Amino acid sequence: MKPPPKPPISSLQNAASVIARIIVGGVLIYAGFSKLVAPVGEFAAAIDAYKILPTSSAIEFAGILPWVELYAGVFVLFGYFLKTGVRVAAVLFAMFLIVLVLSFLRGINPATCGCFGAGVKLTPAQGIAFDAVLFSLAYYLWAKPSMFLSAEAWISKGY
Amino acid sequence: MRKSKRRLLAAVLFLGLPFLAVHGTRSRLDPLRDTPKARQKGDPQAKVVIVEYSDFQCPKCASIQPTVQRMLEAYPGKVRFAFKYFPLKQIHRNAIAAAHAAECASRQDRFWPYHDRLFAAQKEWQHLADPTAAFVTYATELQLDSQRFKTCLEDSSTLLPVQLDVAEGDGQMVKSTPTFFIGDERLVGDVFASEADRIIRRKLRS
Repeated sequence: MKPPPKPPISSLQNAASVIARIIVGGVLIYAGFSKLVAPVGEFAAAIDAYKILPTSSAIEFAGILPWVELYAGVFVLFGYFLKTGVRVAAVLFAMFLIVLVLSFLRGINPATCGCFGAGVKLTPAQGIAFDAVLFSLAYYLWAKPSMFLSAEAWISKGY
Repeated sequence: MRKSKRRLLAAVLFLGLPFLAVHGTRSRLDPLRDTPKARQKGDPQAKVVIVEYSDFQCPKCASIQPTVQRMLEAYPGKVRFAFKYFPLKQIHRNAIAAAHAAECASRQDRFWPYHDRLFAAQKEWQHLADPTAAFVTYATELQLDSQRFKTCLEDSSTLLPVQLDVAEGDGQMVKSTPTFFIGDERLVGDVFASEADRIIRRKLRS
């Protein structure tokens, strides 16, 4: 028996996907880029303040994570490897949420969440709210995939 | 445009451009932005940048200090110098503790006097089972806030800059101390004394 055909994606859903991609991708690109051009110690110190990783791991993580954020952001925003980008973005936001909530429960309350390097300073509470919104948007993109206005659609169909 | 060309173009745009944008931006920024101002000397606009990876317990690092100082005095306003911690913990038992103490002095804007004191007194503290008391004494002699200094020594998070410098040195394949970089040219140990002057003059001419 053939599976039932997927319902067509409405134009409203396409528009919502593009808006969600602009927000999620834009935030990730900004977060990754601002950390990559800042002294690596700044972000390493922010990670170290949460007391979750050993300091040496915090340094390695500070070197790798901004690149992951930047490329996930580019993939989501432009719709290149869109599914991969969206999944990575959702995992990143989930991970940040867990770290922020656990730190809050443990009474660790750094002056800034370290989410955007020195660019934008959010308190951990603001970081939790912001991450929750971004995680919801990334989850929406994951659950309701749309290739509208994406590089993947352009590569496969030429428009 | 054919599909294969579109795929290639997308790869260049979405994989290559972000990488180039980051490296292009980094190359226009201060090459010493990873080193706190407290551990830098010289004119921030100077054309020549010298970075030293050093270990306070290394005898050669101590003995080369007058040469480094002479070199900086010979080119006033033209050379900028930065100190990076590179404690060789495998062979120098108190090297990390000394770097940590220097970092605590740096947090009170007294890095250079403390740096000089550590090298000058190297023989006093290098074999001590616990050099903390000696380090606190030096801090007091240099009129640092000794309570703040002690609190800093007890806080392991203040060791982060030392570990960051070590990670950076590892990335630059630093294997021994002192290792100097004049721009991108590496000079190890005594080679600095014999070659630095020539390289600095060449860089100033270029």
